[in-house]
Order: sequence, then structure tokens, then C-alpha cells
Amino acid sequence: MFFSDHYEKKIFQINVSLFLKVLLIIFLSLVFIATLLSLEIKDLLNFDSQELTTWEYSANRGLLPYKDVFYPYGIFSYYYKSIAILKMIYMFESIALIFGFYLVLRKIIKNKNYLLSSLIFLSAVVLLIGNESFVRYGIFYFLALYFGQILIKKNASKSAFFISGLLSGLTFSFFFDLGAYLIVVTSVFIFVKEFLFRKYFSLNSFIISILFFTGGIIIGLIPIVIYLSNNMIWTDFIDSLLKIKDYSAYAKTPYLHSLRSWPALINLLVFIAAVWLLIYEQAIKKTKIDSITVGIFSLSLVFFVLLQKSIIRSIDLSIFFVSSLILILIFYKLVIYRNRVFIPFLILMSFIFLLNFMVRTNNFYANNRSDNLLSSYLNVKTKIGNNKIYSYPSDPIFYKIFNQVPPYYFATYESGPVYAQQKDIDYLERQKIKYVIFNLNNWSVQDGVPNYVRVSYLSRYIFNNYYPKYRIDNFLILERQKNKDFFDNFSDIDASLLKQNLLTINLEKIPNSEGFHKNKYLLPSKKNVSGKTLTELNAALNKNEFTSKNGLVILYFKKGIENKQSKLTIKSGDGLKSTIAFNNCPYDYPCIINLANVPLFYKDRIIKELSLSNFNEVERVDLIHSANSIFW
Amino acid sequence: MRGNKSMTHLSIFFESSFYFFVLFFLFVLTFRSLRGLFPLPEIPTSKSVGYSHYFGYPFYFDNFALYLLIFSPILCFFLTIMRRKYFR
Repeated sequence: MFFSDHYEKKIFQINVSLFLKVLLIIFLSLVFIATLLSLEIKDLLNFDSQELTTWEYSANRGLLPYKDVFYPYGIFSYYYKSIAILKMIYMFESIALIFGFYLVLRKIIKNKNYLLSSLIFLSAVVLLIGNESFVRYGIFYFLALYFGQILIKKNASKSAFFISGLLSGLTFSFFFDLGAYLIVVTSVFIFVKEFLFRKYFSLNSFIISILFFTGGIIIGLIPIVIYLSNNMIWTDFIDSLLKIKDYSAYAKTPYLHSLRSWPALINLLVFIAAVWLLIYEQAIKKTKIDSITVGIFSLSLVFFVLLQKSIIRSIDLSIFFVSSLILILIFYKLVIYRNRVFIPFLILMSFIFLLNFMVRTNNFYANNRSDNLLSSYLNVKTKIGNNKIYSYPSDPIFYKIFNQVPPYYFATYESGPVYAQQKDIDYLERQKIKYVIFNLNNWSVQDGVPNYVRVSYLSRYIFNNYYPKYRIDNFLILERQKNKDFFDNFSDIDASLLKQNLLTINLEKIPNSEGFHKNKYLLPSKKNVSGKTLTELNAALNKNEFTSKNGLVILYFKKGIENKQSKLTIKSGDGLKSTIAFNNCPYDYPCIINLANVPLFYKDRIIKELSLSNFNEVERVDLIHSANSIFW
Repeated sequence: MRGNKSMTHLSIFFESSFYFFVLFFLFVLTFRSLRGLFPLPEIPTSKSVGYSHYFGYPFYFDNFALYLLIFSPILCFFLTIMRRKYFR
């Protein structure tokens, strides 16, 4: 033994610390390299990438967000690839945020090695979730953690309230959704602070702190005020803010199903553990509030706010960073095992995440190495030349390829609401679009909802005004022509697949939901044709000519057949047939099918004959005309 | 004295945890029936149709289920306190 036990222990500690520092530098370098790589990736053809590429293209063309193109985010992300200084900020944003977390966490975590391992772990999480996901919400995570530390304490200074307001306002200016979240979270902090330290409560001081916070927000909003005023897009900005609520209607997917993915499950378990710990500490044990508790509370609130978004559309991988931070703080609370268990655990997890990152990066480059990915897109350009085009349902990269000003809504996903579909129709008319490029590989732009259901109004316009002209790989080129019927065999081009898909449709639960909610709007006196048996119904159709215009098919089912599906086949006067599958309705209310949304009846036709796969389960079928636009 | 107090704290914690797991399993067992209690989503006047409307997934079911899950620790703690107060 050259050294005493004391020195040996010290040398060991120094070595561990040095090892962790070297590891941290390696992980931070990888985060930086990942950022640079993400900036280099161009023109990928998946849905999200095409949208991002087209927004970048729009920004480079000088088109304004909110006014010229639909943009649901803040101005920073719209311009960061087009303006050099913003690109520089983006390049260093991840590293700067991790440094910011270091500055805040060092006030909470006193154990140096634990702090270093936490930062390594957080860097690994950034690699796991992807730089874009981290940067998207990172500022919100960091500022909420920081505001919690400076506001939730007995003697929070007035400047702390002002700084919180100022930074929230600035965040709103550049990333408006995050700014709005921050304002909500910070307001909660202010009230929680007054509640926790109510012994020291003074109304005057409370009002002053609110005034400082609000004053900070107002000053922080100056950049967005200048931007909107300079470009005169106030109304467009406010209008797009108001329309964000429609997003939830067409974007909602089941959240509980996403719990089958491990990040979603861990997020929820960590959050429940955090709530549990806070209750145990504050309500049962009644321990003193320390910076760790405040940190866990602040991050739990962040999680809760983002959960509202995740319930609409899961963003679990992005939120995983918050649960990682909460987990670090919960581990730190459990003092006993901190050095022996948690530090090795965090390092081990970091290496697992790193491995995942390397495998994913390798796969990504292996799959996207081909130079021919864009070839079919470029072939379309060669064939069409300089004519104006519209992409249906969503290949917005065509607007870049054709060097054309894109429509306000690039893809049929965002143009779900009827006002948005109308805006795209206006574009088709105003720009005198000659060709619609129909992607035969894309029958459902998102979530398994067929495009003819998601954008029925727009689809009706396209299939009534454009007809197959060319076929290039998976793209069917429709040309604008008047007074033709899409379902006639007038073209040499094989559009049979498209026609087949438009004639055999599935409306799933829509007729059921329409019947449940809108049954009350059906007026019995307007009934035109009705039948209790198939023969009776078709005889009535033969006797009275029934046109599909404003036509509704109402089906009343017998008891006990709710969980089955029916297939209704409608034959038109010109001999065409369309089959509509849908889920049966219970006895209490009918199923309602609006013929205007069945592709065969985009053009008004005479209904000649009806048949149903299970007519014996139906009590009655009515065909009525209703001009009420309430029905889908 | 301190030992007794921390034992009491732990017993409150374990009893609350027990209620939590009971509640959680009840939720899992009744998942489909609970979902069926919620009305089908209505296609709004903007005619926006998404996954929920097409497949008939109740719009606010996730909110209800998650809030129940997240705030169940508070409910369980309340149950424990009530049980200790009235059924000792």
C-alpha cells in the first residue's frame, strides 16, 4: 500500500469524476453531431419530412406563415433553416439547453458525480428521442424547471417575476405554443407559492408580483408584435390561433392504446410516482419543501400540460425527456442508494440509448441511400413540364419540384375542416391548376381514415372536374376537363384501381354517429321512398324517380345486431354500382348515410336499386331529401 | 416515538398503494364497458373527420381514464384517511 485508505478513496473519487467528465464530453459531442446531421437531411419523402421541406421552401420563397401558408407553430421553426443566425442558434440549442439544465440542476443536486451522470443520461435521452423532438419542447422544460426554482420560495424577488414574464413572453414570440404553456405553468407557480407560504401572504406583494410578471410578458411579446405589424398579418395570425382547436377534431387518436409503447408507459408510471411522492411528502410526512420537491412539482406540471396534447395525439417520445428528468430527481431523493445503484444505472441506460441511436442512424442511412427515391417525382415533372399542379392527397414536395407557390394547406390532413377544403378548391380555381397528381399508394393520409372521408368536399370537386390523363409509376395525373363523368370509360389510362376504390367504400361508424347525434334533424314529412322489404323498396324506387342530390339513406335496424357490419349496394340509373360498408346501428336510432359523400354520387344521379347484405336484420329503409347541411 | 411515526406513515403509504392497485385492476377489467358508456363522437359543423369519428372512439374517454389514473393517488390517500377515521 503506497497510500493511506483516505488518499486511496480520494483518488478513486477523482478517477470516477474524471471518467464521468470525459463521458459527458463524448455524449455532448454526439448530440452536436446529431444536430448537424439533422440539418443536412434533405428531401425525404415521408409525410412529415415533405411538410417540413415545403415549409422551408415557402420560407425561402418569402411566403409568410399564417397568411400565405398554414403553419401551426411559432416563427422560429418556420425560419430557422432560411435565416443564417437562426440556423446557428438551432445548431447550438441542444448543447445550450443541456448547459442550462446543468446550471439549474447543480443548485438542486449537490452530489457532483450524480450531477455528471444525470447530464450524461439526459444527453443520451436527447440522442434517443432525436434532436428535433428535444429542441421542439426543450425550452419549455428548461424554463419551467428554472421558474419553479426562482418563484416557489418564501422570498422570491420581484425581478424573478419580471424575468419569468419576460422569458415567457419571448418564448411566445418565437414558439407561441410553448410560450402559452409557460404562461399557464408560471401562473400556477405564482398561486402555489402564495398557497405554500400563506403565513407570509400579503395582498399588496401578491398584486405587485402579478404586475411584474404581466409587465415582463408584455415586453417579451414585442418581437412578435413587430413581426406581425411589419407584415400586416395580425388577423391571419389570430385566425390561425383560433382555428387550432379544429386540429383536435381531425388529429385525435386513442391515447390509451399508445401505452403499449415503452416510453408512454414509463412516462405515465414516472408521473404517477411523482404525484405519489409529492402527496406522501407533503400530506403524510409533511416534510419541508426543498428544491428537489419544487423541481419534481415543476416538471410534473410540465408533464401534465403536455399530456393534454398527448391525449389528442401521442407525443410520448418527446415527453420522455421530462420523465427522465423527474426520474433523476426521484432517484436523488432516495439518498441511500444514490452512489452505489443509481449512478451505474444512469450510465448503463445512457449506453443502451446510445446503442439505439447508432442502430437507428445506421438503418436510416442504409434505407435512404438510394439516389432514385425522387425519381418518380422527377418523372412527373418531366412529363407535365411547366404546367401548374395540385398534389392529392399529400406530396407537397411537388410544389418545390415545380417551383410553384403551394396552396395554403399543403396536405389533405390539415385541410380536413370544410373551410380548409374550400380554400384548396379556391386555389385550384384561382391558379387555374391544369393537373392534379394523385398518389395511388396513398388512400389514407393518416390514421387509417380514407381520404374520401377526410376530405369529401375536396374529393368531390376533384373527381367532378379532373379526369385521368397519364400514369407515371404510382402517380395518376388527372387533367382538368369539363362536362365529363369520372366513372365513364373514356380514358386510355388504366384508372381501374382508383375507380374500384372509389366504388367500394367503408364508412365504418360514421352512419352510426350521424344517427345518434343528428336523428333529431330528420323531418318525417320529407320522406320520399320507403320500404320494409327489398322488393317493396325497389318497387317504390321504380315508381318514384329519386335523385341523389341532397339524398339521405336512413336504415332502421332490428334489436341485437349492433356489432355487425352491413354492406349496402346502390345501383344508379346509368348502371353503375357502389358498395358502402358500415357498422350497424342499435334499435334506438337509425344509421344515416349522406349520398353526397359517396364518390359515385359526387355527380347527381338517379337511384335505381338498393340491396343490403343483411336486409333481414333491417326493419325499414327510407330514402329522403334533406337540404339541411348539418349532416356529414 | 419517531420510529412509530414513520411506521404510521409507511402503513398509510402501503394502504393507499393497495387501494390504487384495486382501482387500477377494476379499471382494466371494466375498460370496454367504461368506454361504451361514452357517446360516439359527433362530426362537428366544420365537418372535420378524424380517427375518432371514423372508428367511433369516444372523444373524452382518454381524458377521463387518464385523470382517474393520475389523480388516483389523491383519491386513495383520501380513502385511507377516511378508513382510519371511521373504521379503526
